[in-house]
Amino acid sequence: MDIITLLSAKPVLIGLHLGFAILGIDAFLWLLGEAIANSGTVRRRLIAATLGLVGYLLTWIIGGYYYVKFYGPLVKPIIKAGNAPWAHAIAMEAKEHIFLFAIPLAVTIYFISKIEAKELKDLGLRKELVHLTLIAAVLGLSLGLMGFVISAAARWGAI
Amino acid sequence: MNKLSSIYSSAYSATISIILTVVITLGAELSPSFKTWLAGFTGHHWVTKSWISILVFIVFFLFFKLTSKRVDASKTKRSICTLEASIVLGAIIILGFYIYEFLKH
Repeated sequence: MDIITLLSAKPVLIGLHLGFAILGIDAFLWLLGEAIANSGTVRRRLIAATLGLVGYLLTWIIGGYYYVKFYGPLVKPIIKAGNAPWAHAIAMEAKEHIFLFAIPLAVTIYFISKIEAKELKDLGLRKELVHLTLIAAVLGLSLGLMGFVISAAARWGAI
Repeated sequence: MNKLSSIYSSAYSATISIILTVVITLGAELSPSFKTWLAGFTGHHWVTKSWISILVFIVFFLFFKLTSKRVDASKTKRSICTLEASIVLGAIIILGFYIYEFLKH
């Protein structure tokens, strides 16, 4: 089995989608801690913001590929025919569209993270960084919860 | 300040991208022909929406970056608050719409 075949296998795609989402959420929680404590160098904040952006970018690309290639033709019909069709009609529909907010949000956080902690406070923008980073983390966690509900509906929805 | 200009441009272009995503999403659900038209570009309506959201973000970012003069902290703060509101409202509108559509049928 070559590496491309392995990486495009359904369980591996789901694992990578989830893994990069966790990386992104954790990075934004790390940045949130730095912003609340008003600590950390610009370098440390930029590492956290970059990891968050890259994590969200990769989970979007990998999840999007899985969604178009496998979810639509294979998983969606099972959920819709099961006893929790709302998992697709509400959770998946909302998840796939709300996710499109994540990348522009992560890019904006990256730009704010380029400013020194003291300068950010002097400009009165520290609270804005806290709010935006909190939104990025909560958004990721909410989408993760929806993903869990969708997977559970596919696995147990017919029982 | 160049850094403030980037934050300001990014926040407003993200807001425009989010508003457009919400409008296109609702429009595609309410008009099957619009959804089919969107799918015609890439083979899947969601992939087209993804490209639109990113391209709109990039185009408006460059537009704001090139046209915004003298961006100060106050303007930047307002742009971030607008982005925060658009994300929260956008998520509520999309989730609320799909809940309503599911319960309606």
